[in-house]
Amino acid sequence: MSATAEVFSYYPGCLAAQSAREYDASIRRLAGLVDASLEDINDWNCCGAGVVQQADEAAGRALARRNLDRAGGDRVVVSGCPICVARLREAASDEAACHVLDLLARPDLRERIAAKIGATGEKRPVGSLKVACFYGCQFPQAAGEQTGAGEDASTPLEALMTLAGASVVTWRGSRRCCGGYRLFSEPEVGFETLRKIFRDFTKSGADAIVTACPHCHFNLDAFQYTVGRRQKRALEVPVLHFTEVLALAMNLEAAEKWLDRHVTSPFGLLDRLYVEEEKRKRAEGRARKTKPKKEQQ
Amino acid sequence: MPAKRSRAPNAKTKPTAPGVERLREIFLEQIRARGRVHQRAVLAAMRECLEHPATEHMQEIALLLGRKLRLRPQKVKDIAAVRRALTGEPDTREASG
Repeated sequence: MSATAEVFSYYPGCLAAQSAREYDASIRRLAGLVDASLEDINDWNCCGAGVVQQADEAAGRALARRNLDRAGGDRVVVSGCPICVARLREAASDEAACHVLDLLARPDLRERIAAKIGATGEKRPVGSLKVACFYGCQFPQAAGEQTGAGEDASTPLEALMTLAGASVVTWRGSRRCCGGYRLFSEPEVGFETLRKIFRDFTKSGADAIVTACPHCHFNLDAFQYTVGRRQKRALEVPVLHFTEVLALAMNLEAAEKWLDRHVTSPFGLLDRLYVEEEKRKRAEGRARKTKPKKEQQ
Repeated sequence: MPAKRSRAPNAKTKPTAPGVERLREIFLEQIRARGRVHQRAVLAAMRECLEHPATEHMQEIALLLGRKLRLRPQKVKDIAAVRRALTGEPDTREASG
């Protein structure tokens, strides 16, 4: 970390501290690599996650307010959870909090990410990865509108995935609700929502779903077994955090450790991508060798 | 891209459904007790709404063994301040940052 690192307050949120610990670790690692210093909000509490807000709006705001008060000075609070970001913004202002996606999609930080990816010299295995970006329903409130990262009519998530070398697939399920907390209160409805997402994903032809929300990730990753069981078919859809795709593109060793924590293992997909990439390289090499011979003739 | 920016339609559930009410209760209980929400408590609420809860319980055990869930909940140190925030009492102590 250089001495000129920009400092932000970091709010992990309940999920990043539990089921999405790999997301939390990848955010910290990437922020460090692009000289954005994340300082944890000391003794943070739950943001209310909308559920408290519905029951008692004042209590919900007070919970979010306590976190903002504990964040140092005028620092922007960065979080990887769009639900938490939306709650923190509601309690203060749109400038008070931002999603880590918006931060990493900022032009200067994107340049640093591009430099890190470029330094690896190759884009494997992400180079041949086709991703279906999943935004969920909280995203319009939390990220994607402030950065202007999508000059070419792409969202920050699409811009970062393209930067990593992946191909972004357009699909119908990208803005569907993952079931959210309703999956826990009305699971039958939630499972039906998830079924539709996986149906759309199968039609899309993508290799993996990429999310920027730990809640969507948990629902899609952990409950696809249940959805598949109800349909009497095995679902094996790798669901990746966007930070993990960037880490893979940067060839970070820690990425393997993070991916190992997923319920649905993405290693089968990665192995296939490595093999395909090797084949492609060999074919390119052969074509390069034969080209000069033809020219000599 | 107005179409992309628009809010996705939520799942067709009534906000006053008994399951939603129970979830709110659990959230408030968890925050009052620890300041953070433990995911296992939310999963337990989900099982209450299922016809075959035992199958999902096995899934939870698998998640625990796979280190996906934390066995024990995390707690905020200054829980009194969180309770004050919930009840709407003014916090007289200065935020320590």
